[in-house]
Amino acid sequence: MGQSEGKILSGELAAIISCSMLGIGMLTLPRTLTEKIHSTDGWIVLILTGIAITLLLCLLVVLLKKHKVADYYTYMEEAYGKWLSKLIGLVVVVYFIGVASFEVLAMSEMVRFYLLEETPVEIVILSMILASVHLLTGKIKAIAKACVFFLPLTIVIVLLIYLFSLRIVELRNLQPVLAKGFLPVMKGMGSGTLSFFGIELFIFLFGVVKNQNKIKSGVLIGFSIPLILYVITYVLVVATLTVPEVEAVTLPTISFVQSFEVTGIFLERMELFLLITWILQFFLTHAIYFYFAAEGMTKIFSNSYTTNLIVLVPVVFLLAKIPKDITGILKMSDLLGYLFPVILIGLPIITFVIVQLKRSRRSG
Amino acid sequence: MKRLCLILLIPLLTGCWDSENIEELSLVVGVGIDKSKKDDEIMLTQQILVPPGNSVQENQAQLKYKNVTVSAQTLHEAIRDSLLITNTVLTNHQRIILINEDVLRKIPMEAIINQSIRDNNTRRSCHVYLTKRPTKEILGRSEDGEIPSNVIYELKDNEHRTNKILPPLTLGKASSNLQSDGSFAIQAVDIRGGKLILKGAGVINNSKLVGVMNDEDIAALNWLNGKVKGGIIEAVQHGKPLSVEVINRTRRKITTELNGDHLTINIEVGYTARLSEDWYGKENSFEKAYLKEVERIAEDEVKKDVKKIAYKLQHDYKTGVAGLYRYVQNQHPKFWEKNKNKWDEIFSKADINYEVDLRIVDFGSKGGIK
Repeated sequence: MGQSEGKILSGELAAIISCSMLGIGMLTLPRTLTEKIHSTDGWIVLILTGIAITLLLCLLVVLLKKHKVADYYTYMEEAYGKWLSKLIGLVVVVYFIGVASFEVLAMSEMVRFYLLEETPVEIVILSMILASVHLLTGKIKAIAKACVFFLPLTIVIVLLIYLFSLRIVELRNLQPVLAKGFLPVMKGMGSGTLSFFGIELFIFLFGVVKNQNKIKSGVLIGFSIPLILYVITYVLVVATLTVPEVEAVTLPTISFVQSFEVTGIFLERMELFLLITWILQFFLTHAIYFYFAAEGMTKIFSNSYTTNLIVLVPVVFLLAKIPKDITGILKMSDLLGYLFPVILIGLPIITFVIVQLKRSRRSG
Repeated sequence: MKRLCLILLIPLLTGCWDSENIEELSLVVGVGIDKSKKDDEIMLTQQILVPPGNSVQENQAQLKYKNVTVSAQTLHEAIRDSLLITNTVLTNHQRIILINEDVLRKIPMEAIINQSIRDNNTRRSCHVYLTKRPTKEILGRSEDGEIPSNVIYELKDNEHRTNKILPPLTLGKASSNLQSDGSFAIQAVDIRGGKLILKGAGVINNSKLVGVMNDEDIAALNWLNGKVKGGIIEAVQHGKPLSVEVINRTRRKITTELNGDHLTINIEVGYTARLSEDWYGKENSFEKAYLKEVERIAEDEVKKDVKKIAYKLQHDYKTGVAGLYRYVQNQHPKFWEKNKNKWDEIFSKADINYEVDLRIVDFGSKGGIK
């Protein structure tokens, strides 16, 4: 062990990234995309966005590797100095806490609506937070193991459900392709960011991967798994529900699974399985963000990790209680949506430029 | 750490918040919606399963269901009002929704199914039917204690044997249709000779019932849009009746042409078939020419029916229930974008060319009469 303790493999990196991306995004994705472009071409938007992000990821990996970033917080300190870097770090931590709360909140709403109507949401939220605290005492290695375990399970169950659905899918509803030209597709490019939440985390995972040479493939595999699931989901959901209907329902993916019954085998209703696996995914997304929030606080305040975990429990809980209704929840996701590109694109590139300037001045 | 573990165990105690005893639940299998005697109210009938073994007297024939009827202004209010009579209702297992014609003449269908779509328990896969009689009567018609909702639900499986049934309209499909062009046909249920039967259909346009069709119209409509999955074509040859059974669809091609604002729809369908009955005394199916003749007669029969229904759709209902708008939308997206609000008008003026190609591939185990 020794040096490799607390380090993760590139496969585990991929699983963590996939699991952090699969969350509420997949359930709302068909609607958020279709709302923007009002046509059936959302899958083109998804693929194009996917290609763009893939290129960006390659760029970021190259940049971070060039500077041999082991720990992002010390790297930021090199760029911005002690206090400014702490401030920026704090903003990042707040973002992590925000996403962690948001995911647990979305999960509790789903559970309240579809599964446990009478159970107080506070209990659902709290038990989820406490369970993730328990997982997080094992740090990144424990999360990695959980992700590696749950990800294949999720993929198999979701694909199985989709397989059963093929009977009611009418691909004709996906035509006409590019009826309104390319412009709405380009306009739609920015939408659906909620579904890509999680990819920014690899920046902070950079230091803990064992084999630095395999980071790129790990990140790209981790990104492509959810992307492929998203494209399949979009195609099936829109082909079944049709565009105007997708725009009208709250969680199109669940409505889609509710549209058919499987006859012949013992199980008729598939949405239960979707809900159960999705609670797992919500949990993992939540736990991963929770971990990064606690980890970030440890780096900034240089105090104990366990203290931060416990301090964050009430913070995450109370933050999840702030939005009073469904519009509040949507507002919260919008707010986080603004921060997401800043942390994924803005921050690493600006940091890179500043560090590059500083290093070249020092050497020159 | 031990203490932390104990604290973490506490949430496990909460598992029973939502528990409910199954015998205290009312499992709804079907609902019916009628117009109430009061003017602005609707009447909701819920068919609830009664678990067997509850009755004291074993030998008394016991109904497997009970119907609960309440009136209210909105559907959800009615469901809540029904709780004054029965246990908590659970619509997870609901299979059908019956809607009375009078309701759909007054209230938009969109509003009628709104609650069911929004509801977290009702599945989008439950079927929607229309009724001429009050739904209360239909849901109360039972033979040998069979549950009427299940009887109706299972009738749709005959789709492969007869072409006089419309493909089942699920709640989800109805909702999608209402969101898009809003015109479709809905299967009707009736009572004949004390039995529940699928009979006729309603034509919905813009959420309202605009007309009714009979069984022949349904068959013709199924032919028109190539949705026939089975069934018989009756024809007459040499003054003697014969029937041709449809086996499989081999092709369906629907193309649309635009000439300015004038639309031409070309529909070509092909089916394999079987000569399943022939009353003509001098039949000789071993001869190719004879079968060709039968094919032609049957094709003409279909074409005649389709022509009739196309006329009806274009002139009586003035709406394209056959879902042909999809092809226009796909093949001429720009035109559709501009004219989608005028679709009914465009459809009414369109030329519909229909070609059917039947190929009799066998004639059963007998082919000639001496």
